[in-house]
Amino acid sequence: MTNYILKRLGLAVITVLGVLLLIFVATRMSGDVALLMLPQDASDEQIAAYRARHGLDRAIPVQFLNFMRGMLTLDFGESLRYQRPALEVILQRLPATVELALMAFVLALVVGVSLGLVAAYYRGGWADRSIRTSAVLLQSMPNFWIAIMAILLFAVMLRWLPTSGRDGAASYIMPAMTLMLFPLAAIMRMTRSAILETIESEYVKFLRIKGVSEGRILWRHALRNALIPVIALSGLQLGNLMGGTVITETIFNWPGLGSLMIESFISRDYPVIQVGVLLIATFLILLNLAVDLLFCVVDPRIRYA
Amino acid sequence: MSSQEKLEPFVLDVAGLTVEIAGREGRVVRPARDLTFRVGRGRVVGVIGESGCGKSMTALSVMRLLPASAKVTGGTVLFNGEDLLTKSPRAMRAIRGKSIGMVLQDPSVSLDPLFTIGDQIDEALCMHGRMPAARRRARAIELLEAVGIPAPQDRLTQYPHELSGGMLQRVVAAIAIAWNPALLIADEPTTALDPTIQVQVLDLLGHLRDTLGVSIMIITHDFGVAAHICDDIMVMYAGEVVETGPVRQIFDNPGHPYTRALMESSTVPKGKGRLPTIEGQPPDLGDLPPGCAFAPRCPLANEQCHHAAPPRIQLSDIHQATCWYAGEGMT
Repeated sequence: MTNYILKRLGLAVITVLGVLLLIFVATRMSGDVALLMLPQDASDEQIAAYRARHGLDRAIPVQFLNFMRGMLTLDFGESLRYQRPALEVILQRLPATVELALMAFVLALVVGVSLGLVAAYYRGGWADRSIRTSAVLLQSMPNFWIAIMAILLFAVMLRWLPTSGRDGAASYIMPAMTLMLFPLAAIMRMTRSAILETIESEYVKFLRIKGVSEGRILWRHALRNALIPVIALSGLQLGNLMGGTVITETIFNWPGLGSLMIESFISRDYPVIQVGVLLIATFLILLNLAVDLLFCVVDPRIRYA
Repeated sequence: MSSQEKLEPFVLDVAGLTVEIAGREGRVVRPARDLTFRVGRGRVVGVIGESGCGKSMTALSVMRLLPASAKVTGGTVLFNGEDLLTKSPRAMRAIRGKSIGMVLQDPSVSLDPLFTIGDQIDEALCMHGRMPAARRRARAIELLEAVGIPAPQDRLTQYPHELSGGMLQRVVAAIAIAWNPALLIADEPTTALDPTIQVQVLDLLGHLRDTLGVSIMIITHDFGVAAHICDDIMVMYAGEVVETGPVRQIFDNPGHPYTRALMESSTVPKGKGRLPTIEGQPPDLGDLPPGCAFAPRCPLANEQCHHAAPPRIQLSDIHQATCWYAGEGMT
């Protein structure tokens, strides 16, 4: 087991470096930051001096090696836009995103699994039908559109909630809801179908033959078996959710990592982009590892394989 | 079993059992029609027939575990003299796993893959009474020993996927006999197993009957299985019992052409001849012919068979067949 984890972590380091290399080259090929940062009438000397100051005049492989060397001492360079260490800029914006994503994810998971259970339990009834219909609706509406409509309704027309920003509990509601709706619908549908599949299995039939009560079958056996696909899906959804924060934070002007990344890409703030990508890639890889380990905890067939 | 319980000569006494499944467009399918049969105390009864002739539905009606679409519309199922069909769901749950055990066809999917063998036996022991954990563990080991599993204490912490099909079927049998049931229903218990293992599992069932005195109702499509362990046989065709009797009498003198055809198709012919088969297929249970259901496939059928339901003929005091020709020497 320890060997397996170490191997996965080793692979993770290689993957993160690969992602970094890719983003490093890609950002530098997308345009010249010096022209963007300096005034329109800057002289050639000023531009050359700017490039030299930020090391942008070196060959890209040399720049990458320098960046790697800095990484060893947690020096990721200085933000070109804020003139502060890039790591500091990122860390300052990170909590807002973690709060939002975590809130949305936990809500999606708890509500999704519960509603999925209800739908499976009352299969074919009105609760099941309305849950399934709303799941399809939620999954077919893009979340930026939901966000805009929600702002229109709750902020502009009803004036119940603030349109944007991060100020007080009420300001969390719309961004968190927007972010959670898609994963909620996906988790709900998966829970429902997984429960129904286990309920119809032979081992549930045999549990009934043993005289086990329906409640115990549902809570102890069906739910635990149904959780395996739900865990796989939830891991994916949490990853997607990180991508979703970019759009949601931009619409709601939420001061988090997602909106910072967009701003940084637009202004070609290389150091901030690099730290951001490093962080997000590491998170996603660790998330995948955590999901795989969780499988081992739940499913003995995987534990020994 | 309490001493007060009166010992009926028959553990199971089913009369007129009819099961209906509501199909599309008001079509009604009857997988069991007016079934009457009995399981004698301490006897092994084989229920034989092709797929789709209502064998499993019959077993599930006794357990009151029919799928939601099917329901019993008539008859009585007396178990130790009490009608199971009138029991409340709670009373029925107290009987399942305690007084009636059941073994399913495919042991590789009969157990929850996420729980250990020990947990699943323990669960059965927790369902119908209170026992301290240490006694339950001892009982679990005893049960595994009773079904012939080597090193039982090591099995308790293993998961189903770590055991072979034959071993799993033994575990399932151990759970089924956990409370010394009066009746054990085995639904095609050997069909999913390797041929060499099949005989072992059959011998195990015979052994359980001999040691525990449990009556066994074994569902099979294979006359070889029936010949191996059954005392009595009941042949089903298209949801009806077409012949019942002691296994010896049926083998020596099959009263129904379907029984004869089944027997011929389960024995491997000597030499290079092809394995005999029964021409055609069982009828659509929602659209049965007016006379004998077997008539369209029967080599002996005449006009009468196609139009009038055949009588039940006594071939001996305990052997009967439902056929116009029963008792007249068949060729």
